[in-house]
Amino acid sequence: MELSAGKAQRHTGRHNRTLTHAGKVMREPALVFVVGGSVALLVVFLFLPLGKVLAMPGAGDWLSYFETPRFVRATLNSLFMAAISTASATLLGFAFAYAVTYAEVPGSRIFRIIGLLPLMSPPFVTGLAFILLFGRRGLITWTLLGLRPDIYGWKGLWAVQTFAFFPTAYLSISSVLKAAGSNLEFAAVNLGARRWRVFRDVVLPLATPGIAGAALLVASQVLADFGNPMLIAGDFTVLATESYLELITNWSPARAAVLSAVLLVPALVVFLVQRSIVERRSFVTVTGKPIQGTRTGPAPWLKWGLAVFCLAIALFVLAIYGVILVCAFVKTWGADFTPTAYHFVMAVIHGRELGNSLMLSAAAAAFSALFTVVLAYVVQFKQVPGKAVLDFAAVLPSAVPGTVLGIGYVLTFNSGPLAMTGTAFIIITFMVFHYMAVGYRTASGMLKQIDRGIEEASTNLGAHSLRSFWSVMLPLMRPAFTTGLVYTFIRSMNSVSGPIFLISPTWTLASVSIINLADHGYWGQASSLGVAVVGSIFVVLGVARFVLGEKVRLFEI
Amino acid sequence: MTIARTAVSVDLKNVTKSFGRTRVVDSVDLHVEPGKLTTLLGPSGCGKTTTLRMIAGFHEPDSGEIYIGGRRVDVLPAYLRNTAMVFQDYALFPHMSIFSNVAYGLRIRGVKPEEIKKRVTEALDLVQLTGMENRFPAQLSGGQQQRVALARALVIQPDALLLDEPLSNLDAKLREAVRSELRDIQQRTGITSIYVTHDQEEAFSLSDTVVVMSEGRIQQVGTPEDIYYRPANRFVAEFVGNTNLLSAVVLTAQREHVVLAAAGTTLVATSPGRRFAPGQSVLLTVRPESVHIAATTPPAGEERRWEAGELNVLPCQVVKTTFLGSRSRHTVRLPDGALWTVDVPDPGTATMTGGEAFVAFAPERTHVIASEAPGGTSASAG
Amino acid sequence: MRNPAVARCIAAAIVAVMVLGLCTALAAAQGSRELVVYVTFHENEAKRLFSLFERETGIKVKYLALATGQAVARVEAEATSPQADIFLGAGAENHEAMKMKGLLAQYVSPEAAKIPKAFKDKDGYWTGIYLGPVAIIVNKDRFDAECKPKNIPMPETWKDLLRPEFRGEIVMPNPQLSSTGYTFLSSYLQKYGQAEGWAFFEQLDKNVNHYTKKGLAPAQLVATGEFLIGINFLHDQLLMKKAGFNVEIIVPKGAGWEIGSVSIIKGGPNPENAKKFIDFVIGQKAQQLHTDLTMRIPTRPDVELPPGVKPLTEMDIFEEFDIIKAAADKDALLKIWSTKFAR
Repeated sequence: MELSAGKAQRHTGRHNRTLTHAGKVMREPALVFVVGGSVALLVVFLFLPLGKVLAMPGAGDWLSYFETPRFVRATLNSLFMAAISTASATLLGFAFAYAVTYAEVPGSRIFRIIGLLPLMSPPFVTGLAFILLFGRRGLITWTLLGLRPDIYGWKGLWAVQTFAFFPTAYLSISSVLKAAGSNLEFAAVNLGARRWRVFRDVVLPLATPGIAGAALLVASQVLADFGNPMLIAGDFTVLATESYLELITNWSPARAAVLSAVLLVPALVVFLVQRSIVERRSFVTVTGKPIQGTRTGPAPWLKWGLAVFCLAIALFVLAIYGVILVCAFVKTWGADFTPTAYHFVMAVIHGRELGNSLMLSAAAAAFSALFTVVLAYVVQFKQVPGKAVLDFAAVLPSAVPGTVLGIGYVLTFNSGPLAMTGTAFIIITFMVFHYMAVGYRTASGMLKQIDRGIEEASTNLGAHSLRSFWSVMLPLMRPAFTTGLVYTFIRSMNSVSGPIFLISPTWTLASVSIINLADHGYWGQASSLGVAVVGSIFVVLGVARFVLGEKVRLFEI
Repeated sequence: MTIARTAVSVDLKNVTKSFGRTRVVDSVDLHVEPGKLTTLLGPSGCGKTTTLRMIAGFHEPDSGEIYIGGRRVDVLPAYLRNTAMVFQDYALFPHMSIFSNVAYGLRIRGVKPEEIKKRVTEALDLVQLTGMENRFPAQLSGGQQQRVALARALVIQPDALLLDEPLSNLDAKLREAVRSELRDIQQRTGITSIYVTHDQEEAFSLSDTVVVMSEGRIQQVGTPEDIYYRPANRFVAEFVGNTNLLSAVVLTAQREHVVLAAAGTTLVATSPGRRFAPGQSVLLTVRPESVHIAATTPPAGEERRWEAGELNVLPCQVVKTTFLGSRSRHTVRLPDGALWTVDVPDPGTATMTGGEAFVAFAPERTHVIASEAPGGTSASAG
Repeated sequence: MRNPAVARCIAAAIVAVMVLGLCTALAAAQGSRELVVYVTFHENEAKRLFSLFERETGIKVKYLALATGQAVARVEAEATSPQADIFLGAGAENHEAMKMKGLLAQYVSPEAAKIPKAFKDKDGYWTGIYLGPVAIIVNKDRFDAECKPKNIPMPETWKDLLRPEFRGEIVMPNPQLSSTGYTFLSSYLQKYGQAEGWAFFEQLDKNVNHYTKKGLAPAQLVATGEFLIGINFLHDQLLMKKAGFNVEIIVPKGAGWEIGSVSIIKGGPNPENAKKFIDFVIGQKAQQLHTDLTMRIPTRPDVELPPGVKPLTEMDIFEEFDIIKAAADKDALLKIWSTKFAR
């Protein structure tokens, strides 16, 4: 049942006036348990590790940050890289989104799928393929075009980050464009506005907050990434890489914690800005239902220009994947192109990493989806004290770079009463909490549109909170549940920055193993594992779609 | 009828509820007769919905007690109160079929499947939705959805049926049809029902008892006729239908007959059950349709009383006349400046067209209430 | 249950977790015939060694592959109740530092007699298993195409790398981040003295495109032709040759080196098995396997070397290189490095 925003709002208004009643909460033991449990989990697995990162370094460690020019430089580099990569990735993402969802250039359907591919591939392998294609002796740059670009430095990193993160911007913006260019656009056409004016005066202003939100999403991911800088950046250092190296290579947890804390500052700033923007733009997504009809669309020359642009991007993406595929199934790229299944057999068939990754990611996805849906329900529908804090805590992890949270986990769970490094549990927990924000946001967004009366009707008919949740709310929130499930699964499969600190002999992961293999020169095996990761994600998505019986929606945040 | 159980009463004792600093429900005492339909009537913000939601358990009273069938329920969570609510927006479960929607409450109560099937079928029969079991809410019209909501509520044999403006989302014609159906079903099942609305016509046509509320307080409790013809105070008089007011001073008051001085003349009014002291300032109220208007000749049908001087007669100035089809409405100015509305039924072509005239009204059609400071209200249960 | 899909998911999750729990429990409950190893080799290499050991002795090896710093920190943290028996891999200076802190147990294996004095601790706390000299790797295809026509000779010495023609074409690991890089830096400074040494690195810096974060990277970057010349450990370079890349590998005169070593952690849970492992890992069979897998030069003379590799005795490496001193100088040297070569 579709409810108008007005109705939902009226109900919200009515309830916002309600003050919390501890007494009422206490009367529902199940609710008390759920709220208490959620709070406890968030405290232990989010705030405690972050607190450790901040509390662990001594004054001397903080001082060493300012005394080490390398660290200060890395900080500035991180900011610089985040700024330029965000600008370019957002621009590219916008152009792509405009082309495939708004202008609907020929081949849009295929472009849409190809645009998503980079999201599903493990990091590092992409960077590797990029070098092989566009390096100083790259297949395209050198062999084909005779160019000798120097990619080892900020320029190369910029290119790779633009490529790696434009899909995030594209997905985020396309959902906004879909919403913005509906009724209002037709109204504008109706008033006699020309094509370009329609876009400039109506679509763009409406989409601007969404675009800004997308940009900040990209910014936080660029800040957090350390795989690509490690491979491509040459002497250009960034904070994420430095803190990783401090911990892994130099085993200096205190200094790693300092760098993490520094990295946390811009990440949190970005997060807070994004949060306020996302909140403001919500009017577009809540009421904006795409409607049928022909859009005005761009002029033909622009349309064809965009089609060429999309084709170029698509070819680029396919080339990257082509290289990975070839790498995985020939003896040695660059030296011996004899086809072989050896790498695949060694890394995928004999290795247990892929199985581990699938199992842990699936478990994390299921828990995360359930947890976020429950949490969103409690925050949106229940009168519990400290709702605002819970709400903040649920989306905060999206801002925390994986290295920071990972280091926090190492500091918190390595010893003492909470010692659990080396277990599968710690890895699952990391995945659940690091990737919960998207599922949570989707669930809250849905709940805002669900009439409270529906739950009250259930209560009124005799169902206690848990029963109402299970029989009525959960089924209604199924799309949010699926989104959380899929998002967490994909991200977990490709998660490196946190798990790299948390894996153990029993619980190695494919994503981390890819990096280790590539680090030790086993490119063929690294690529094979990469191919297997992407392949298995597709298979799992297919199965999920079959089992859940609905379209898997990504990133509808 | 299997849906009926022994009807029970609902009682509110000194219930108060505030949201922040606003006192939304203020010391409400209410007794709802078993098996009757009682309506809470009032403008938006008067506290009627909050009162209903407190009975259902969605709000908790700050103080006071609520009883259903003598059992104290304000200490119970909503799901244990055995009330059934029909929501303004229906609040059907969109992901469940009509059958599952109606069966939901029974399933929760652990009723056996065969029994559920039987009772759901009965309930759907009752609301004339036989055969709709396998549809989904989105496939039904608004009126049908409303009836599903009603069936869903009735099927659990609630101690109290709570209806929160259930007809407000229906268009005018449908609203009337569903209204009479609702009244019919309520009377057949005999479930104690509490109905919230701001629509007086709805309240009058459905209710055994009407409770008028304003600013969190009960203004008057009575039958629809009581409320209409004998409003307890100025608020009720003005809120319920159109009314004409005239400031007056009591000359003599003997039993039901009160003699008043007003607009430069002497009027006779009735006020059963009320005592007024000579010299007291009061308001005389009379409904527009109870007033006759005449230029020179006596109003049709009232010739005898006119002649006998049994009618109150006041001179007036016709300010405006509006033809409304079934009646024509005149706005007149009385000697003291008060503007009255006078409705003339079946006007034909003989409409007044301005100028001097007389208004006449029978003493038994008037009602006297205590005059009070403007805007102030005082609770006085009739 | 009215939402079977969601229910199915949740059920699957619960089952998954139960299975996980069971696995961990099983892993924990094992017999006493085992050995716990902290290893810094890549898993692919470590696994092969351990399975051979298991086959020969029946002792099951539990291992944790760690970065060197992490492994050292772990042993130190567990000093009061050691969890592991063996520390395998990492340069001898790390083992020496642990010996000084009293974290290691003394054991002179009968097999140790086969290993030259220079490659083992005189007190028997650690034993070298392989030797890794720092070497130069050159991409032969590119060299033939770009340098031969200009009559530029193949570099033979470190100083040859300073030719202006190589500007921007050299990659080496960052000494701050990689032990490979630091071995190169410290050995050169020890051999040629601070003044001459730093002057060399200042010159070299002009030709270096960038300092890599990982020790292995230069060999890879040269193998794929991204760069002409790379500096890192010989065995990393030999792996590229083995993979089929056309590269030339040179071990220059006076090259520094690392000794990958093994030691017994004091107070470990299985001291007897630990001794058996030492006997095994410095034995001929294990050394041969390790050499074949990793191209690392064994410390034992009776092991067949990777093709094209000269025996240690014939290499003109910097034999007097004091790795202990190098380790002690590390902070000071890196401080100078970071001021000179900040990029």
